[in-house]
Amino acid sequence: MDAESFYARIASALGGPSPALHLPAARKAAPVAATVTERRAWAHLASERLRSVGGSAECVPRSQLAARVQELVGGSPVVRVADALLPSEVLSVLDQATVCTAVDAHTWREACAAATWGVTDADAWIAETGSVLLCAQRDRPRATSLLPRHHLVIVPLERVIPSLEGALNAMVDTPSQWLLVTGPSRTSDIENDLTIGVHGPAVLHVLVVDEETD
Amino acid sequence: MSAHGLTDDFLQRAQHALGQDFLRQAVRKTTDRLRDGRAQAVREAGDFEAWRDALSAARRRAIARLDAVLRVFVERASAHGVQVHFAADAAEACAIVVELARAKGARLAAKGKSMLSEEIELNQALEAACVEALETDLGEWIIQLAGERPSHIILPVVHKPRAEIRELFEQHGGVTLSDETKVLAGYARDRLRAEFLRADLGITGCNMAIAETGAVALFSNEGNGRMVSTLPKTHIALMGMERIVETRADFVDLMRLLPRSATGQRITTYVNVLHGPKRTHELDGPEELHVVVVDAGRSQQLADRDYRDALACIRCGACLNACPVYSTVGGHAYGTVYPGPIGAVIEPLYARDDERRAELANASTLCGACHEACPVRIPLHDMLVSLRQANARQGRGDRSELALQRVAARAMAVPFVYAGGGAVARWFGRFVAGDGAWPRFVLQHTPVLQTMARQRVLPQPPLRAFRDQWADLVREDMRGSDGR
Repeated sequence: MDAESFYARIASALGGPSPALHLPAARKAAPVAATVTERRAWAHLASERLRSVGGSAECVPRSQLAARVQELVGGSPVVRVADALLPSEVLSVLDQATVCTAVDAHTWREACAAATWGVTDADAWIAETGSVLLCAQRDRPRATSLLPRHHLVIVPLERVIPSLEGALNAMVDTPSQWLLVTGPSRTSDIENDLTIGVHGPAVLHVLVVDEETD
Repeated sequence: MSAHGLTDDFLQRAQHALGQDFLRQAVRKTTDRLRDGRAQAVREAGDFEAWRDALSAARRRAIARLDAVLRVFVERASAHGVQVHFAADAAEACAIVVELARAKGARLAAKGKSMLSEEIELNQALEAACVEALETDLGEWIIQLAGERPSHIILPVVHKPRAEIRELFEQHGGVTLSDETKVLAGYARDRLRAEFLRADLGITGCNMAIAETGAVALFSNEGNGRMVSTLPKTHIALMGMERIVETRADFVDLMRLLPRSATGQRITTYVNVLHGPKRTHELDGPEELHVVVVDAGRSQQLADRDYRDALACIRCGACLNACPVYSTVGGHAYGTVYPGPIGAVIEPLYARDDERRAELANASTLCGACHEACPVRIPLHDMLVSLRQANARQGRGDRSELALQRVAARAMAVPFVYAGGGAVARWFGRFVAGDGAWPRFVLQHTPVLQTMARQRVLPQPPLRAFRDQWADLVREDMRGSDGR
C-alpha cells in the first residue's frame, strides 16, 4: 500500500485528516554544567546502579589509568575504538594486546568475534540508571561493544551526567545507532532464573577517569 | 466462568492448563515475581505517577493525530536513509518482507523478539518462500524448537520446565547437557552466535518510533536485538502503526516506564535507537534499514472511540501479571497471540467476527487490577464490560443464561416479586448445593446451573436474605458505636 492511501485510512478512522504537525527539528539543550564534586557524586550513584544490575565501575585517577587497564585486560586479545577516542597512555598499553583496530569491514567483524575484550569510550555515563551511552560513529564501530565477552568503558569524569534527559542531546545528530548499555547481557527466560551473558557481553566494567584526584 | 457465557473453547483450554501442575506453578511464580518487581520499582521511583500521566498523555496525543505524526516520522526517517513500507494487513506485511528477502537472495533471517511478527505469522510466510526464519531471543528460540507459541509477551517460555528445554537442545545439537541455566544459556549463545554472523537478514519488531528524529527503538536484555540490527546486511523492523511517540522527551518517559512496568528493571540492558543504516564511513551496521508500518486491524480500532485508548498500549505485560485469571491459567488458554486483559480487548477488535476471540471478554473478573497496573492507564476493565455488552447484544453466549438474566431483571424491578423469588431461589439453592443423588440429578438437568456447576462448587445460600438481615446489622452497628 502506498503512503498516501495508508494515511488516508488512518484519517478516515480518525474522522478526517489531522492538521499538519509542525514538530520543530530536534535541538540541543544546554549541556549540564556541574562542579567536579557534583560529577563525582553522580559517578558514585551511577556505579551503585550499575552494580545493582551486575555491572561494575571504579573511579581512577589519570595517573593510574594505564596500570589499571593493563591489570584488567592483561595480555588477552582486544578490539578497541580508534585512537582519537582513548587517552594516549591507554593506547600504549592496549597496543601490545590489540588484535585489530578498525580497518576493513570483514576482518573487523572476525576480529571482534575473536577478541576477549572490547574497549570503548562513551558519550555519557548516566547516574539515574548507570547506563553508558554509545553513539555509532566512524571511529566507534558497533561490534566493539557487542561481540567480545568483556566490555571495558573508559570515560572521563566530565561526561558523567545526572539523568536520561541529558542523553537526548546526542540524538539530535541522528547517529545511525544511539545506544544505552546498562550492565551485562541477561535473560530470565529459563524458569525465571537470571543468567548473565547470553548474547551480548557478560562483563561490563566502567573506568571513570578523574583528572583531579591523585 | 460459564455463568458469563463462555463457550467451551476457552473453558476447555483453561481446564487443560489447570491440570498441568508445572504450568500452573510457573505462571504463578512468574506473574508474582514480575508484579513484585514492578511494585518495588514503583516505590523506588518517586515520580512514577507523574511519568504515567506524562506518557499516557503523550501516547494519546500521538494516536489522536496519528496520520500527521506518521508523516513526520516517515519524512525524517527517510531523510537519513530508512526505507519505509506500508502494509494494510498481515498478508501484505508478510509479502513485503518476503519480497525483500527474495530481492536480497536471503537464505537465513535472524529474528529479534517481535509480537507483531507472531501476529502476522511471518515465520510461516518466510518458510514458504524457502527462507529460514530463526528466532534468536532465548525464550522464542526454545518455543520455535518445540513448535509452540509464546505464553507470555515478555517471558514467552515460562510454561516450560528446564528438563524439557535441555532435551530440546540435546536433540537439536546432538549433545549432552546439564539442567543448569548457565549451561543451557551457554549452549544457546554458542549456537546462535554462528547464526548471527551468517544471517543475511535481521528482523526485529519496534518498541516505539520517535517522530521528532525519525527513529525506531528496540528494548532488550539479551543483546540479540543488537546482533540482528547490527550484523546482517539488511535490517527489517516491523512496526505496528500506533507504536510512535512525537518527541524525545516522550521517549524518556517510555524509557522510564516500559522496563519498570514489564520486569521492574530501572531500564532494560539495551535501549537501541536506530536512525537509519550505517553511514558511509562506518565499519559495521546494516547497509539497509527497512521499516514496515503495519495496520492489520488497528485502523478499525482507531475508528472506535470505545476502544481507541487500547492503542496506547506499550506491550509491557503488566496487565497480564496483575490479572487473577491470567496468573491462574497462563497464556495458552487464551488461544491468541496476545493473552491477558489486553489480549481480550485487542484480539476481538483485530478480527470482529471471530467468535473464538469474542469469548475472551469473559475471561476476566472485572476487578480492575489491569487498569491499575497499566502504565498508560488504559481502562481495560471498562472495555471488557463494553465487549461483554456487545456480545450479549449480538446474542453470543449461553441462551438459557440470557433468558434467566432477563427474568431476573424483571423480577428485581418489583419488590415483592424480588422478595418472593429470592426465597424460592434460596430454598432451591440450598437444595442443589446439598449432597445426595437427588440434588445432583436436579443440578445436572437445570439449564444455566448445569454449566455453572461444571466449573465450580456452588455456595450454599444463607437461610435469611441479606435484606432481611439488614435491620439487625444496623442495630448491632449502633450498639458498637455507642460502646466507643
